[in-house]
Amino acid sequence: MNVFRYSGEDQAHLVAALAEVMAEAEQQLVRVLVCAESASVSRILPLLQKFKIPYVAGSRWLFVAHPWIRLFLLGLRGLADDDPLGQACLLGRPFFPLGLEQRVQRVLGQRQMPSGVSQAWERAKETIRELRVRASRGGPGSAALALAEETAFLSHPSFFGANCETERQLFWMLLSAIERESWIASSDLVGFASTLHDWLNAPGVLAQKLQRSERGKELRLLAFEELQSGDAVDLLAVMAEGHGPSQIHWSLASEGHVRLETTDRRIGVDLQVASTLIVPDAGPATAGSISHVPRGGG
Amino acid sequence: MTVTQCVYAAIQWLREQLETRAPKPWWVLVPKPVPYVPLLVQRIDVCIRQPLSVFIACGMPFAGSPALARLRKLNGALCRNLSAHAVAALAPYLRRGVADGGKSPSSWLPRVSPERALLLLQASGACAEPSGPHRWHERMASLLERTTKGVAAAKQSTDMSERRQTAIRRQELERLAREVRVLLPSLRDLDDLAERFARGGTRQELLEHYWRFVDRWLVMPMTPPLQESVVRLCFTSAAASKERRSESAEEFVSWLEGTLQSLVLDVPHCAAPDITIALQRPIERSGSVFRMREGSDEAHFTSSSPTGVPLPPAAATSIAFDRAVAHPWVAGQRNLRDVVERVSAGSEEAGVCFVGPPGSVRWGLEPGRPLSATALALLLTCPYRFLLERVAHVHPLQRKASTKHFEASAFGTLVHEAFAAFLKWHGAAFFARNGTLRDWLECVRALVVEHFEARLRTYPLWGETNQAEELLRLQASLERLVAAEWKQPPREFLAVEYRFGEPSGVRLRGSRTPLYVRGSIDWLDRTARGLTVGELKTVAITVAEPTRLDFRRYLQLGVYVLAIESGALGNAETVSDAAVVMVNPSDVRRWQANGRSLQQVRERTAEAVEVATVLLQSAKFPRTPAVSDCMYCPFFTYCGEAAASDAVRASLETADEELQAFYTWRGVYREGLRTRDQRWVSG
Repeated sequence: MNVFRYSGEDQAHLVAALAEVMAEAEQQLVRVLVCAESASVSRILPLLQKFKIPYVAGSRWLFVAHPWIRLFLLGLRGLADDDPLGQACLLGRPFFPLGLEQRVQRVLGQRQMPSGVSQAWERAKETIRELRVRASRGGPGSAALALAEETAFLSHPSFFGANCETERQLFWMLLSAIERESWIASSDLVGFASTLHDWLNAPGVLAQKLQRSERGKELRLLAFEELQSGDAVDLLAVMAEGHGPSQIHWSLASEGHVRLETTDRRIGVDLQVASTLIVPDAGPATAGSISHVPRGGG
Repeated sequence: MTVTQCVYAAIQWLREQLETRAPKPWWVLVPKPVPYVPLLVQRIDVCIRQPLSVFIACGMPFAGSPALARLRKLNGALCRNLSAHAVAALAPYLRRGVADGGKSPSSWLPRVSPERALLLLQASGACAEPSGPHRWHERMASLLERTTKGVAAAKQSTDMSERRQTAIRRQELERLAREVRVLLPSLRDLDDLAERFARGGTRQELLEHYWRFVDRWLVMPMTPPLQESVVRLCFTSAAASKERRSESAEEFVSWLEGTLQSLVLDVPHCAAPDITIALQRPIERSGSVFRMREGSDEAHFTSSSPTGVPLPPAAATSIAFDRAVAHPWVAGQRNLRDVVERVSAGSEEAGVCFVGPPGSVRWGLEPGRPLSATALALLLTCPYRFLLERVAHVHPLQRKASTKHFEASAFGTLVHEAFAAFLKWHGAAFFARNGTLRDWLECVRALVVEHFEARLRTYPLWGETNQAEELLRLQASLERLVAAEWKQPPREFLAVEYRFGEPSGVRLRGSRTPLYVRGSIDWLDRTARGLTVGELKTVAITVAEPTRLDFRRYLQLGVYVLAIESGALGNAETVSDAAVVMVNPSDVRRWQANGRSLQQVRERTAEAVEVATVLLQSAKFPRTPAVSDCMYCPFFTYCGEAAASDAVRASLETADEELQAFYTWRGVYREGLRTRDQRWVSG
């Protein structure tokens, strides 16, 4: 096992190391990046995109790493019934070229709205009306597809960024999950709204439905609680959490084994690492097998 | 070729595929789901004696369409004697009133969600039965009548000081009336159907009534021929059965469920099926999400190969009041419809929402649009939530009310109303300490009963036991409150629920930029030292530890103090004392400030007002920098988990002076107020 260490405050250093290691590795490996806080996930995502590292989130960070999923579920909920948050989401980006500013204008007075905004608003309402008519006749799967197709949703930047391939696959997996779950439950879109609500409140439940193979070319972003003792990974990277309350500490347990612990939870997991471990500077004194990643990589 | 011949031809073909071990899945295309799919699936089981998994891609005749689920909801409502939850689950599928368009396409639209339907049903008030009311038309008609009267009264109101409240109330009532009115006709027939079922009858008789209701009121996603065939099969099954005696609703529904189930194919889901049954042509224009035409846009979109060389960057336009922002992301190859523009992620994702150029939001900055004291506290807690709730009018769905006890907000309102009524009628005598405490406790007990019964007209507290328990809890709170106030020295009572700043806001004195406020002071009295402002708060479980007073609480009090000193009572008057009284059924605590501590409240409130004014003037609405504020926020699903942490990061990194002022203020006063000369008095 090769152990690389990076300066805890230098995420670019970590991502450069990841890019270097992943470029040399085989395609079908288990690659995991452990993040303890959503803030660190938000920080690392632009860097992963910059270095063109494909990533997919586990259950905890599903909505953080793939924000369009939450927006899509909210929009579908807005289509299903008169849930105000869903409707507010549906009548805005990324579905329609409208936002809170247009909503504020509407509140201030319809007569004061510029004609372009007024027309965009009416077009959006008309599209939603048509989508609802279709949704009440078909199943949630076709309603979801129509929602994505008939609005500008598929122009969401995620589908055209560096991670577009994974995001697109996830989109179709999400549609399949909606179709499958509604088919199993024999529910229509109105009945399916409660499932959407559950998924929005607990992304872990949805993530299980979007389960992919652990092996792949993507880097899996996992939360600490998603790790289980005895898990075998090929590449393990641990993200330093800056000054956040949840710090992950690492130590080498035995040959090929790493122990990770958090300060706030006071629990630990032992992982088996096959090839590479990338960890922050803070940690145990190192043996000869530990090397440093050269700065400015990638 | 008859249907049966077609089906057996397909079976024969499947046998050949099995013998020749042809690659799976074997596709069987059918012209329409009924009756081909049920016949085919049943015959596969019988004729091919090998376990084969089937996937039905064209939708099931019954289970695949939502029709059976809707019938089951109706059955559930009939079985459960029209309980509120069962009727609420059925309500989205009930057609709107005949006068509202009948069976036109718009009548297909679900206008009400089950949650909202439950709220409407619950708005019809309390019921002596533990499980709540079971007939709805009369109750909802009565609610509609009350609502209509309320709207009329609100329209006739000429009281300028209550104009704003009246307008809000009228809008609420009009919405309620609009929603209830269209449900009434179907509820009337549903009540009749339930009454008929309660009397029992033969299967034929009950089926007549059942299908008549379904045909008239239930939106069924079935074609008329399919529905006719289902009805015919039900009647045939009833005629064939030997049962001729009168049946109860439960027995009938149980039999009907079984009969409908026999029309349903219960095919387990399988990821890799042996046989796939599909339609010859797709029902939906988009097609099933599992099947994509070769070369279609969807197929291209899902292909695992890279989407090719991206197009040159396209400027996407975000519409703002008078500015266009170019977002330089790369547009891909997907062809978008002309109906919508390519849209941007906008600045909302960066943690701060701008709703236009500075000065575009006038709330609080004009006398005609004063800011309420509670809105000010909300603005300084999370400006983004303030924007959603108070400016953009995005309101999260109200939670379902508990039918066993009062929600915290309803309980708090009742305590406020009852105490305000007590002070209105007896404030002068009570504050002068006339009479005895025993008499006042008796008096407040009677007042509580009066208000409690009035509240039951609109609150769904179901069951006499629950009602009695809640009445005791309410009485206990008010008695403790009155007893605690009795311990205070005698004083002169001045006003209760004193409203100021309506319709024209009070300009707060001393602030560099004018901020206009309005509010309602719980009570005002005068001691030997001078004027006292009183604020009542109900606390959910335990009264807070007497260490710090949260900034939201002292801010509201501070605004009242500054408003009075700026002339809210007609002329500027100095306040000598301010008190927050926190009450719950088991304890009362009083936080009182005077002298130096009151001066501290004034100074801190003035600082807060400055920060709020800057935010409003610059029309910038950042998310709260404290993740803990999001914990119970109803907009958490809307904003997402990352929003909170991004806002924290933004608060550390921003170079914007206006935002920095807000973040600094939150950082300094996050922990609330705590000095030596503030007094906590236990009740």
